[in-house]
Parts: sequence; C-alpha cells; structure tokens
Amino acid sequence: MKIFHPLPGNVARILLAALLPIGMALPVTADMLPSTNLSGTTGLIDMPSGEQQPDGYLGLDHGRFGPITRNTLTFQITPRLSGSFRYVSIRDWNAKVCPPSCSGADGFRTYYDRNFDLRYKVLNEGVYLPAVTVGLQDFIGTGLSMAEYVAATKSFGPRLKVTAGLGFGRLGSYGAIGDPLGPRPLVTAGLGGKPNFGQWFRGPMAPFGGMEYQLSDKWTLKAEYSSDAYLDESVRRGTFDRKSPLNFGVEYAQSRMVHLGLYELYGSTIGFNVSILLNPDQRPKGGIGGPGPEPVKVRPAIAQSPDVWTTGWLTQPDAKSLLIDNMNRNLVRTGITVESLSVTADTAQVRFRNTLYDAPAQAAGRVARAMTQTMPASVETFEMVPMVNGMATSMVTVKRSDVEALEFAPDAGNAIRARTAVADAGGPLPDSATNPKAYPKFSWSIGPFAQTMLFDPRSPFQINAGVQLQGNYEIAPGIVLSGALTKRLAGDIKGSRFNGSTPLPPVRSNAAGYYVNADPDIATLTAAWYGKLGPELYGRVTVGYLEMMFAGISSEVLWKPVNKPYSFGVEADYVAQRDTNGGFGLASSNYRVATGFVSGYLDLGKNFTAELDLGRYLAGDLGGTFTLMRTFPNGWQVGAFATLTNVSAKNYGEGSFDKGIKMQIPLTWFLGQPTQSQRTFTLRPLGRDGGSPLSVNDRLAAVLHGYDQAGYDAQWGRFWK
Amino acid sequence: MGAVLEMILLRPVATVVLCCAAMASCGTNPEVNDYQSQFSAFATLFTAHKSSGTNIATLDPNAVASLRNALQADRQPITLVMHPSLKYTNLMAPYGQNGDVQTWASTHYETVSLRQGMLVATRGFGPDLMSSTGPGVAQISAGHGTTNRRYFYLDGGDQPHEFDYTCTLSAAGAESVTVLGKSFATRKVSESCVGTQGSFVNQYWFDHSTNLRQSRQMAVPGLGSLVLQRVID
Repeated sequence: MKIFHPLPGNVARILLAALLPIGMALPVTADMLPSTNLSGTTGLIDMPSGEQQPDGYLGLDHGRFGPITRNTLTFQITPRLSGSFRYVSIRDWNAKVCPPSCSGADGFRTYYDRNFDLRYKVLNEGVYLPAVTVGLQDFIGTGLSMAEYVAATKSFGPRLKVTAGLGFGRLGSYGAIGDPLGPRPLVTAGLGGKPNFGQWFRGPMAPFGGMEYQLSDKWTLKAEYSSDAYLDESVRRGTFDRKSPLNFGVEYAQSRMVHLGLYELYGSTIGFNVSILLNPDQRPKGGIGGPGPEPVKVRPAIAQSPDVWTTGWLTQPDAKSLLIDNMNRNLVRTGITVESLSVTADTAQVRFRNTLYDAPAQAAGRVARAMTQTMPASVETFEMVPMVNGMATSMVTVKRSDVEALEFAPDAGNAIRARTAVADAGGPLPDSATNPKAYPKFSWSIGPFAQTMLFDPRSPFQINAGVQLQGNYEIAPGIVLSGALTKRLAGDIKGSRFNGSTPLPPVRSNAAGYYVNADPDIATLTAAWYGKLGPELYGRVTVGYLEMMFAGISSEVLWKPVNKPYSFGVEADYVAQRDTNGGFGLASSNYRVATGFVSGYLDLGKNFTAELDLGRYLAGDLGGTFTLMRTFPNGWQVGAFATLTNVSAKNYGEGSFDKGIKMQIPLTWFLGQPTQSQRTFTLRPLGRDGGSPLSVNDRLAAVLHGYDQAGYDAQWGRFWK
Repeated sequence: MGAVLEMILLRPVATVVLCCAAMASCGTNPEVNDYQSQFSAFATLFTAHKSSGTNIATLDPNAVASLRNALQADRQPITLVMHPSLKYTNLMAPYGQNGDVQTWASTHYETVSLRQGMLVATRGFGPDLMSSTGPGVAQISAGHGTTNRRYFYLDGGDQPHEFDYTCTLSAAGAESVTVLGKSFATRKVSESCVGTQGSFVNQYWFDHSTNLRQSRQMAVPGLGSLVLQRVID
C-alpha cells in the first residue's frame, strides 16, 4: 500500500500560484434591508420603525449626536422578537443645574444609563398591510430613556418606506394628542432591575413618523418627525438645543454588514451612527475552508485481488500499533491523533483526539477517510470515538462500503447520515493497542489577555491588558495539570464604587482589588481528573487555584445521553477566597464556602437551549439561575441569564438581582477555517456578590458540548469536508 | 497480503513557522494558539478579498515553455485549474480514484473531482461543490439536447442546499485554445443552464471525440465557475 503524493517535488517548486481566499457563496439578494437608528434598533434616525432585522442577526451600534452617545447591542431573538442592551451617556448633564443642585443624579457631569429594550413584531408586512412592531424601550430600571410605542412601516416599491407610529413616555413627550390610557405614574426605580409595568403605555401619546428612500444600493436618505421632546436633556439641563422636531440624514452601506449614517438633528446638532450587523448563522466567507481531505481509497473487489482480503495480519503481533502509526501519518494534516485502536477481521474502533475541527462530524469524516486508506480490506465496520480529556464520548459507526460508495453520491451528506449510527462509546476499549506517543502531552501558549471593568459611573470602561502564559500537561488520559500566569503591561483599572457596600461577603465586589493587586497573577493552577463513570455518565474533580478569586476543590458528575435532548449534572465545591495579590496565599478574611448546584440542560428545539441551576452560591446564598441561549449550528450562542437567590434586593444592592447577556463566539466564524477556539463574553449590568457562582475551567457540560447526536447533526454536512 | 505494511507518506515541505513576533501569539496548544486570529478576525471581516493570482496569458512565454517542458519530462498527468474571478490558478495532479471519479489535488490540497473531465466535486476552496449530478461527457460531446443538473453544497452555517438546473446544449463551432503555451484545435460546446438560483453557461472544448482539453464548469452557484485545462495527458 502506498499513497502517492499529489505532486512530485520538482513540480511543487514551479507551482504557479497559491490558494487565495474565496468570498461569499450564497447569492446576495438586493432587497432594501431594515436599517437601524441612533438607538441601535430598527428604525429611522432617532425614531423606531415597524420593522425588525432578519432572524438571528446581531447588531452593534454606536450612535452619537450633540451630548448624547448610545452604544447598543441588539439581538433578533426570533423572527418577531428582538432585544437590546444599551449604554447611554449624556455629557454636560449638570452643567446648568450644578450649582446649586449637585446631589443625586445632578452630581454627575456625564450621566450614564443602561437600557434594556424588547420589541415584538405583531404584523408582518403584506401587500396592503404594513409591518407593525410594539416596543418597550428602557423597560427595566431608572427609566430615563423609557418609552413605549407602536410603529407601522410600509414599503412602496423597492426604494421607499414610510413609517408612522404612536409613542408614550419619552416618545410621547412632544406634540401629544391625548393620554388614552390615563396618566403616567412616576417611576419609583429604587435599586432598579425591575420592570416598570405601571408606566407602560400610560400618559401622553404622541405621533411620530418618517420615510426612507434608497437612492442606490449604497446610499439611503432619511427624514423623520420626532415625538421626543428631550425634556430633561434640552429643556431642563440645556445639554443641547432642541429647536425643531424634524431630523434629516443620509446613510451609506459600506457593506452588507457595515452601515454609516450622518444626520442633522433637531434643527441644531449633527449626529452620526456606525452600525455593524452580523449574521451569526452564516460565516461571512461561506463554506468552511482549510485543506481538502484525503480521498477515499476504494478496496479492489475480492474476486479480483483475493490476497488483499486475507486476514493473516491478525496474527501479526505489531499489527495494531502499525495501524495506529499509519492512521496518524495519514491524519498528520488534520490535528487528529489516534489514541487507541482495537481491530478484528471485520471491525475497527479508533479512539482519537481532535484538536482542530469545531464540527465533530468533520473530524469523524477525516478519520473515516484515513481508515479507508489504512485498514486491511476485510475491515468493514468503522467505529470512530472522539476522546475528550481522556473520556470516550459518542461513537459514530459507518460501513466502509458506504463510505466508498457515497463519496461522490448526490446529496452525499444526507446519504451517509442515513447509514450512520451515533451512540454512546461505552467504557474502556477492550483488547486495544494504545498510541505510546499520545501521552503525556504538553501544550503551551503565550498570548494577550484583557480584563475589563464596565459601567462604573466614574469611568465606565476600564481595561487591563497584558500577556498570559498558559500550559497544559496531560499526564495520562483524563489527568490534566494546567495553569495560567498573567502579567499586566498596561491598564487603568483603579477601583470601583461598589466596594463593601452590602452585608454580603465580598465574593465578587472586590474584583477591582484583584485587578489592581494581582500582578503577576497565578490566574489558575489546577490538577484535574476526568473520567467516564458509566454509560453516558461523566465525572470531574479539579483541585487547586480554580479562578482569580477562589481556590479549593470542585467536583461534578454529568449524565449526558447521546440521543436525548436533555442532560443533568450535580456539582459540589469547597473553596476559600484567595488573596488579592495573585499569589498562593488566601484572603485574610479566611472566607470559606461550600457551593454546589443541581443542573438541568434542555434542548428546546429550534436552536434554543435552556439551563437551570439550583443550589448555593459563593456568598452562601441559595437560589437558582435560569439561562436561555439561542445556539446556532455553527457554535455561536447568544442568550441571557438571571439569578434569583434568597438575598433581598436591598442586600443585593443596585440592580436588585444578578442578570446579564452571554455570548459564545467561535473564531472559525471570522476565519472561515476550522478551529476550536472560541471566545465567551458575559455582559452584566453590575458585578455584585449575590447569586455569584464559582468559575471553573472545563466544566463537563462545556467540554462535552457537541459530542452528542444533535451536535453531529447540526453540522453533519462537514463529514465530507 | 499477509501483513500490514508500513506506509510511506510523502508530503510537501513543512512550513517554517515564525513565532512570537510582536503582538502575535505562539504555543503548541491548538485551542489557544491563535490569538493572532483575534486581531485579524475583525480585519478580515471587512476587507474585500484582494488577491494577486497569476494570469498565464501575461507570463513570459519562455517561462511558460520551460514550465511545460518540466511537466512533460515529469510525465505525471497535470490539470491546470483556474478561477478567473478569484484569481486562483494552480496545477493539480491525480490524488485518488473512486470508480470513474478521479480526484486531483494541488500541493495546498485544494482538490477537484472529475468524471471523465466533468466536474463532480471540489474541496479545499471553502465554499465547495460537495456533490453533484449531471450529464456524462458523451452527452455533452454530442452538442445538442437538454441536460439536468443538481448541485449540492454547504452554506456558511454548514447546512446543505440543493440547486437544480435545466440546461440546453449547443455546438459552438471550432476554436483554437492555448493550454500552457501549446495550441490545440478544438470543437466547442456550450451548455446554458437555468434554475431557480439564476443561470450560467458551461463551456467545453474537445480536441478529439470526447477528450476534453479545456472546460469552464460551474462549481458553486453564486461563487462561479472553474476553468480546467488538461496540460499533461
């Protein structure tokens, strides 16, 4: 057997050109996309419209006019429902009122506020009917930006859209035509964090509207009549002069993703808007890149070459280790390493580690191709088991003759899937040979790191940046020593106003103390054990410096059926608070706590997953966290969580309870090449002590994510990539 | 075969990796060694793909002649694969055979799979033709009648799509084509395809009976066609 090289050396040297990146695959339709306004939501200039963005789109928006800046993250949660998180700042907030009034909100030179919005499209645009959206703006909290509205938008031809709406609250403050639902009660925000049901759609109601006209594919003109009087900003505080309700602007579509707008607002000021609109569901570069696979090697017919089909190799003592070597040589370009192999005359099971492909199906496909190249002809059944931290996860079983027959079949992906089984891999592989080079395995990296402290009203964006040295030493399957050391090179994190302001132990509120003092910081230093405890049952124990603020022991068990939409886990930890200096010491407070959770995970279908954790948090408080994520097949996750515990809103402090937005972004989306790297972001309005869980690297649910039937099916087409 | 033989794999020269420059990251941990990605990720997003492929027609004729001589001396079958709008140009050699489908690969492991010269699949291009069905070369060579084509591919979310087309064949006369500096007298056939996802034209240049010397064939609808030239038979 010999695989021949695609091009001999002398030809390779005189090659003409290299691979070049390739652009979008899907034909682009030239419709008039819904645009965004200065509040980062679908709309005109400062007013909303009746439209919404395409399903799943994620918008990042920076809008600015006069003294007002708005940074908004908007997610189209479902085709009809969208939500936004916005950070607003208003300059010269107290310039006119302080002195004499310099206390409370008047004490701020620049006023910062956080908004949450929800919008629901009650009507899709039809031939005669407009798109109609009902919106709640800044519906939780202090209510400065609070507004409710109903907006309708209708297209007239391919280039013109007209919007008309009725606003309440802020959007009912100019040119009101009555208050049909009665007077609007005053907001009693208190500590914030709670919906202001009592105000919604109450008080003065005012009409607004406008139009968008698309000059060309790139340029759009907008004009609107605003029903926002800017009573506080303009009339009371004089931060800008609102002379007119009319706004005008022009927008330029730099690409499908990037839109820029320039506006003349309220007869007195200029504004601009930068809007980035991403579609997490689709990599911008289209189909996944990276080198093509090895071709499938087809066995000769048994009648034609009977000697190839003999099984004398079964008695060859080094047959398995030779096959492991051959597999690993064949897989050298793939980031896949065979860890162990068992083989009989007709069945081979390969257990492998995949460090490259984000799609388990692609890894399985590459292994299947390598098996056609290396396995003796009599081996007809291929069993492929990805190993994760030494744990055998799911097993993909295919027939070799199907792989041979379907490589170029029409709709080859679905064709091979119909003949593939995904099941639990079971325990240790009996009668197997192991790859002596697979363990111990050392890996390391050095790269940049950043810490941020957000939303401190004195300095809303503070960042530390530096380098992180990270190492992983896998002594044996399932036994991992790892550590990370960070050194700050630059940073401006100084502190936080939240220090020690509640009766709770300061498990998180002293974050700034760590960010300032821990330099260099032993961010983590742990020994972990992973193991398969039974069918579909996994276990983990991690000991050491688990996270920046806590050290101790963390253990968990996860039951994760391969072919079910749910899984359950139990976690128990005992930890002590670390000193803020980033060394090996513990905090002088001697704070120790036992925490733990019972967790349930459920795939709700339609790409939504829910997680419920019930248990005890770091401050010793009891309660639960509910997390709802939209999970895209390519690994993007966008969602939100909320934690309620037996800590009262008063003891919790500002925000009343812990909540936030979570995102997981696979880097392969940006690169268009396979990689397992991803970045996780959690955006919390405020980081407080109540409802705060321990942070441990490589929890079971995270490392085993995707290694079930649903995970394979989400990206099954990549079996043949 | 009595025993499992040790396998020999030849591979292109390993790439020399320069590591730890300025803000770049390095390491052996594949999960985290691409911090560089973070820096380049946003940049690649908003940068139009500008490439600088080689246009054979603009090369020095002497250089082309010496390349052809080198390839002929090597005697390995060679196909020149080009994507004009992407400025992709590369040589490919036979890499695998499955039934009547032959897979050709470049040294960068882009591959095209051909059934008697008819494009069946591509890999390594990113947006790839995953699989397809269409007419055989004999039907194309006949130069008349209609054909049906089905193309299967994966979108940027790894989900499968099928695009179907109905095509009309027509003879397009005699034409001389130049393949890496050598001229061939050919007979041209056009295949005009129309489907719900638009339309395209495949073109075929036969130098004798059903032997394809050059062709322009749709790869991924919306991405465009590949030009295939058989350089060394």
